[in-house]
Amino acid sequence: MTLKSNARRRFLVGAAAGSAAAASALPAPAIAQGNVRWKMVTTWPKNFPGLGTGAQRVADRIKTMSDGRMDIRLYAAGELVPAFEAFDAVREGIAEMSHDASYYWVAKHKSTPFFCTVPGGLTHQEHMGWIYHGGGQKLWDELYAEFGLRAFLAGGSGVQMGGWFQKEINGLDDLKGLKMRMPGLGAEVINRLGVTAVNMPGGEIMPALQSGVIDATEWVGPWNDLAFGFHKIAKYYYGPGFHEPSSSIEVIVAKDKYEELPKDLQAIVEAACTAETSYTLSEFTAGNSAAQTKLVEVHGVKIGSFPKDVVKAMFAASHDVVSETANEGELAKRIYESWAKFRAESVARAPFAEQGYMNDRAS
Amino acid sequence: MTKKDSEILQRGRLSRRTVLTAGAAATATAALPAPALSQGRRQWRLVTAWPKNFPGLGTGAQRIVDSITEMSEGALAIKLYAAGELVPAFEIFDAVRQGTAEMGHASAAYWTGKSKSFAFFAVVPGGLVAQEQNAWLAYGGGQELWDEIYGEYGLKAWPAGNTGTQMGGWFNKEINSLSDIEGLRMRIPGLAGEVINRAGGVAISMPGGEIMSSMQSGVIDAVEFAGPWTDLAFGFHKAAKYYNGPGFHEPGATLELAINREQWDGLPPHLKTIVRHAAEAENQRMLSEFTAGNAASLESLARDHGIVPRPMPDDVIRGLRAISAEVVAETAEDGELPRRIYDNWSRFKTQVIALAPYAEQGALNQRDL
Repeated sequence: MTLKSNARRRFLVGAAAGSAAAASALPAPAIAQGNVRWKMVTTWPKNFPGLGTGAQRVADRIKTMSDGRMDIRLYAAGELVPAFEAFDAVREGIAEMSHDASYYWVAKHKSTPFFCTVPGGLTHQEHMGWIYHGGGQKLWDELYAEFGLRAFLAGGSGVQMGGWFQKEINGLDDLKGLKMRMPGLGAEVINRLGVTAVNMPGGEIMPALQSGVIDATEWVGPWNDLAFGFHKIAKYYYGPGFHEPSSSIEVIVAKDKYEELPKDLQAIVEAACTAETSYTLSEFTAGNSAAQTKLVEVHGVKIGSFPKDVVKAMFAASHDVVSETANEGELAKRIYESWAKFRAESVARAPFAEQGYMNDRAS
Repeated sequence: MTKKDSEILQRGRLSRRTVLTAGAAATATAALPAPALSQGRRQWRLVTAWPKNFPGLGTGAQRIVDSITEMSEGALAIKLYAAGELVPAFEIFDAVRQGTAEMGHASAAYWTGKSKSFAFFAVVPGGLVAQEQNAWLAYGGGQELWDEIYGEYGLKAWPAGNTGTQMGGWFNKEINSLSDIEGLRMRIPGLAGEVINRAGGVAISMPGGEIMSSMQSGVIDAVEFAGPWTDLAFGFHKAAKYYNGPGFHEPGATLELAINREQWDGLPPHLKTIVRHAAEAENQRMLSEFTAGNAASLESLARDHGIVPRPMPDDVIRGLRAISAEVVAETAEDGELPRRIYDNWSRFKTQVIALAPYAEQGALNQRDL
């Protein structure tokens, strides 16, 4: 799930248009009434299914809830800054907010993926349990305060699919030598299994598959994958993936600007994000189930799960890669340990909760 | 029983006299000073089906109230009433319809006596988990159908919390086969109660606050409430030895914020949006609180009390699931709207069950390999 659209030209045009609009649309009386106008950059194309639509809902909702006192202007990836510069754009004050995924900022700190998703990690429901009621938000605040930022959960894609392949995967040997599009910590995991991981934005995947630059790709799930048309090139669709069991979306705000907001607007920003944590996942869940039916019934796609030994190897390598982040420093160690403890409790409970129920339902 | 437990139970067991007294007091406090009203401020009442600050349910209702009051800067101020303070838990639906209170926080499964189809907006046996249920409501047509059927009763409701998959319950004898259900007197509400009745048991519906004393006095032999976290708080492990789970009956129970339709229609757009999203934010927060609380409490039940839950035997689960499918399908026979609700939900369920092995269900199973 990596997107960018960062043509320098578009950036300049977008930025110019943005400042012009901001300047012209700020009548003095509005300022006198204490109106707040913020910019929100995103890492998605405008209205991209689930992600762009979610960002738009957050912006619209804040405006309506505040009765127009807080007006958020949304910028698609590349309009104001390139997708992968969103984090720095908020730090530097180019925008006040960003709607993105925290694992894009792994180069800033090895622990940022814990607040989005890590290979072999928590499902969305468990992840929310850790963030909201298991100590996760406090650690997130601590980490982001080092960058002058604060973040809120604001969406999630649910469990992502394992990916599209041009041949059947019957064992670990079938993975060796494959060139596969895979971002983040998941890339490190498959590299250890003999795959060559390649990272590229969503828009470049189709041509890369067609020309043979890559043999396989993961993207998100049936809904987004169907839209890109991967089924036209790769016949085998495997899932679920080991690598992104929750993929949570974040809204980043500049800490000082957030703290300057009156209490009611602070509460509105936070609730607008928390509500979107629900809506985005719902949109993906409904979209994925309808799209999967279509892939199978209309396009004849073969959907299957990876063989057991492949799954075991993926989870073992994931454990190594994820636990190694604890060696990155004192805070990184605390983040890993809090998360690992929550994961252990969640794994113990799952057979008596959603996992146990869904298995009963399928039997 | 700890002091805290007994306080919780006491609060849930308020007598009719106390209720009336509390009601009178509430009316008095609800009479706001004129300046507040003249500034266009609203003072609403939220009646809940829970003891005050009861884990997950009461704390969730309180967060909704606090969040709306804070986001609206007091333009919509809400006073929360615990079960029995203004009206008894099971009279909330009628109290909100009649305007005794503007809002209620409860479960639509409590009102299946009015229409069995209400259960779809809470939870049905053999149905959807929280993630699937939320998707059906928000993007599968569920909310529109809920609006239609509640509209017939002068109400508007939003999802406002979820317990996640619930446990099967506490039993004072081992359940080894379906025949062990025969004659069993069990606290279990909604359509699941009908399933237990058809399996030969006797289903009894009662608010949470009355369960513990009923277990101790032998009025009931078994109880389901929610999950390890709430069950530990009630102290059910002191009254029953056998804990089974997960249950067949409540895979992801939605709580509702039901609002008097006329009052809802009278809100300006920004307050409507605030109320809706305070409810939706809580829809996530409560599920998170249950997910974290249940995981920790399951560990505590084993470590501190020696209680290790067991799954129900396969043939019991299969038997109860088969009866559930009948009971749920029969709701469609109640009329044109109930049929549309059932058909819409069934179609969604078929697709989402096909997705599950490649989504959360599959991921959870892979993790265990």
